[in-house]
Amino acid sequence: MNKGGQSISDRTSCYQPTAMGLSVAFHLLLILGLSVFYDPAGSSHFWPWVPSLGVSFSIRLDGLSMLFSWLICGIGIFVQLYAYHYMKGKPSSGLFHAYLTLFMLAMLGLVLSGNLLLLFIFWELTTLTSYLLIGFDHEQELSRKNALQAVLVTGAGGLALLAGLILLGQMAGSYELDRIINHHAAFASDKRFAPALFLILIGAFTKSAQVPFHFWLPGAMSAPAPVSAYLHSATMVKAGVYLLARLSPVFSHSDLWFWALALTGGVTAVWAGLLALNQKDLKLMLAYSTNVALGKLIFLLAFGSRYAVSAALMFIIAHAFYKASLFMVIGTVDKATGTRDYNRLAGLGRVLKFSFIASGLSALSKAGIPPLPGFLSKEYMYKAALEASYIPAAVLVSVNSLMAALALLVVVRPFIYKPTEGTVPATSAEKSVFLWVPPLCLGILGVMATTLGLNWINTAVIVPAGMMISQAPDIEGLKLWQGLNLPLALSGISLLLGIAIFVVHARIKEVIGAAIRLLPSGSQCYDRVMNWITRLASVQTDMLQHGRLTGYMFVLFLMMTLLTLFSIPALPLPDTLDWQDIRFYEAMLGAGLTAAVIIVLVSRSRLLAIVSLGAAGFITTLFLMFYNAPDVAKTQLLVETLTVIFLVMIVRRLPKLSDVLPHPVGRRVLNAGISLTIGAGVFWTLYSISATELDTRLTDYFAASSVIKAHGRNIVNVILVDFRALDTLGEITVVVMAALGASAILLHRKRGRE
Amino acid sequence: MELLLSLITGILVAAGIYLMLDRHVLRILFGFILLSNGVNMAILTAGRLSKAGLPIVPSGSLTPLGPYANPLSQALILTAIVIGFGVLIFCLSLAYRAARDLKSADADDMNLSEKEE
Repeated sequence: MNKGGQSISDRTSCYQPTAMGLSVAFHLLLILGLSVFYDPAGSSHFWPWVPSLGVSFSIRLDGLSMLFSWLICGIGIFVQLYAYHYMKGKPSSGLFHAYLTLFMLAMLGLVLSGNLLLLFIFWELTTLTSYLLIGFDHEQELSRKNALQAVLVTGAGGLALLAGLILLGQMAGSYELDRIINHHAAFASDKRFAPALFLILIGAFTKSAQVPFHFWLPGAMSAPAPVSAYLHSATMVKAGVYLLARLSPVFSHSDLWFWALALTGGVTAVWAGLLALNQKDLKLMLAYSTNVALGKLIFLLAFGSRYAVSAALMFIIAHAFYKASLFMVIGTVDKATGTRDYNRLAGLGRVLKFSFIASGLSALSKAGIPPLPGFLSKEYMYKAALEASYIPAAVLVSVNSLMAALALLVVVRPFIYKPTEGTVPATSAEKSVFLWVPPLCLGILGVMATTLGLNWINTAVIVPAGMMISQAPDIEGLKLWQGLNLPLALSGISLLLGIAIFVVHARIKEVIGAAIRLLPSGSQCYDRVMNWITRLASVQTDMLQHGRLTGYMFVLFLMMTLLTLFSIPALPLPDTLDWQDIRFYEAMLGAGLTAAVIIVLVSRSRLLAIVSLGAAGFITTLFLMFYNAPDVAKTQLLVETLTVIFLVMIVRRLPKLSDVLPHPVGRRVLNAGISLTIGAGVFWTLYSISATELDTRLTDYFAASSVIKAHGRNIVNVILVDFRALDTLGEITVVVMAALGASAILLHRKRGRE
Repeated sequence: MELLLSLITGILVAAGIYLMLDRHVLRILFGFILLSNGVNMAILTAGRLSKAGLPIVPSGSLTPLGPYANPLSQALILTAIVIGFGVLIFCLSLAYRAARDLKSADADDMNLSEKEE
């Protein structure tokens, strides 16, 4: 870095503590403000924005949005603090915090929106700001590619979502969430119900990285660690889950909803769990395990029973805490050792003590050890599954045992195993408190949430949010100890299975890897689709932009012909042809004009063509004279004369008409067909117009005010220089510019010769 | 009367378009001139034809006496003629330069700017 850059960097780092303090204060203020206004029964605030489109700036603050707001702002504080040190010294780290804050606000807007279209706007804002964050290391090609992948996948889903939301809004006759949720019973028989649901599901599944759109999430791991800790724990990827939870009252009674959510969620959870086991990079492992968590949440929303909803809400809290903390710890490990490959990591527990504790607490929650939030959500998950049947219970047991194995893998090997020859020595990266305090706090807060704060969480969010989602009045708060029962046994079984998978991990990894290679990966499919699109675009461009003027003209006039054929014949013609009105000399002039035009068409002599062109122009001048347009006739006469003079001047220096080959006969016949059709269309339209009543209001006004207001007796002149003076000024400007352009073109050569 | 003028307009437009589809730049320009004339005639016809009187207020009167030709369509044609003439002159010089520099009057050869470098 050059000296100037260094000094700027120094200067910005002086501002950073202040900026950091302000940022934290801002987050706290948001939390405080929202908490003060929060009423578990739910409240709405409404400001009209674009009333004609049904868009309003309405805020809806209830249990569900409050839960997400708390997580967004709360985790946001820790992520900002962690990023403060993590990004220190990097160029434009200030920008990074700005992006992070913008993203936080977009996310907050998303969960607080009370209007579908407003929600969509914030939804797209999260996509855009996440693009800036994921591609923050934009000097690396991979970073740019993955950011683009994320924004294209979620952006495409966003378009589907918009269509779905509009359908939903049309069904309800309003885009206000309050109204839609209150009237949900009326939609079930609407024929737009299934398409709306399908489109909204695509939006939610792309955002929440469900199979087959899961691949963008691991790709987004090229982002700096704080981004992953924020976007892939509490925020971005949860937006889809939030949306489904929010719209659950509208759709959850349909079979389509159940099967789509249960299958997609279940498949995602199991498949991503296997993919996670196959990773070497700890960060990628966490990324796939985020896919697992999202799949599990969608799976739970499919059931929508009171236990399932409570379990999902608790799991959202648990996952936000432990996943953010784990991503931060992995970031610190990366800083300390320069690698995230778990084969090369061992014995970090002694060097990175606090990170070890933080990741230990988080991993226990992830694995589902009592009394951590992960355990609690698992208990209720099993309760909900057992209510339904043994299949969901089996799915959940396998998913949870995968989760437990992953939790062990992330912590045991890097932190507890003894260092061997192949491992990388670690430098202590914990000198800065900002690198270990945030993950540790999140870990401890996770423990406290279920031990000390469970009652508060129950009354503040679980019960109101649960009632919001399932619309059932019988939601109860979660209880930590429920006695010895089947769910507890299943919990134990999944834990044991997890340990078993961890032990034999090295051996089954090969089997899993072989199985995965048999199937096409999502990322490869994405690349292939992108290739097709670019190839299609270039083929299409080559076809349309071939660089031949006649081709462009042909397409242009062909389209006009088709338009003529489809629209003009509908116009009515006058009942009687008024051919008796035509005087003999007019008919003769018409015949003369036609003859002149034909000579222009067939003549191979340049001069003859120009003379005939002049003749045609002068005959039109005569018609202008007959019909009382002397000013126009005079102008036309001058212009025709000048045109002929210019043409004769220039034409001598141009190649002869016979020097350029005409089109082949077939093409000429086609051209004739096109021009005759359009000509006939013009005739038809004009003649049809002449049979209608003329609206003379404007003419009458000009005639009446010509003398009184503009003090001129020639009405045409008055219109030009007075009533439409600006128009005439524009016309003069065009002529001046054309003259300037023409002289520049013609004079340039002379100067070049000198 | 409108019948005749509509017919003439149709002929001018058809001939203009046919010429504009040609390969020789000069014929394309001829087409442009005929099309301009056709458009002027179209505006005149759409504003209705009248042999009754000039759109002029006689001295001593505040409004025209008796029927008069539509002044609005005439004003519009005037604007159209002048702008059409300006554009025509620009196109003429462009065609002239292009034909001299490229030693060809074939419009399909005049695609230097669209070729990839």
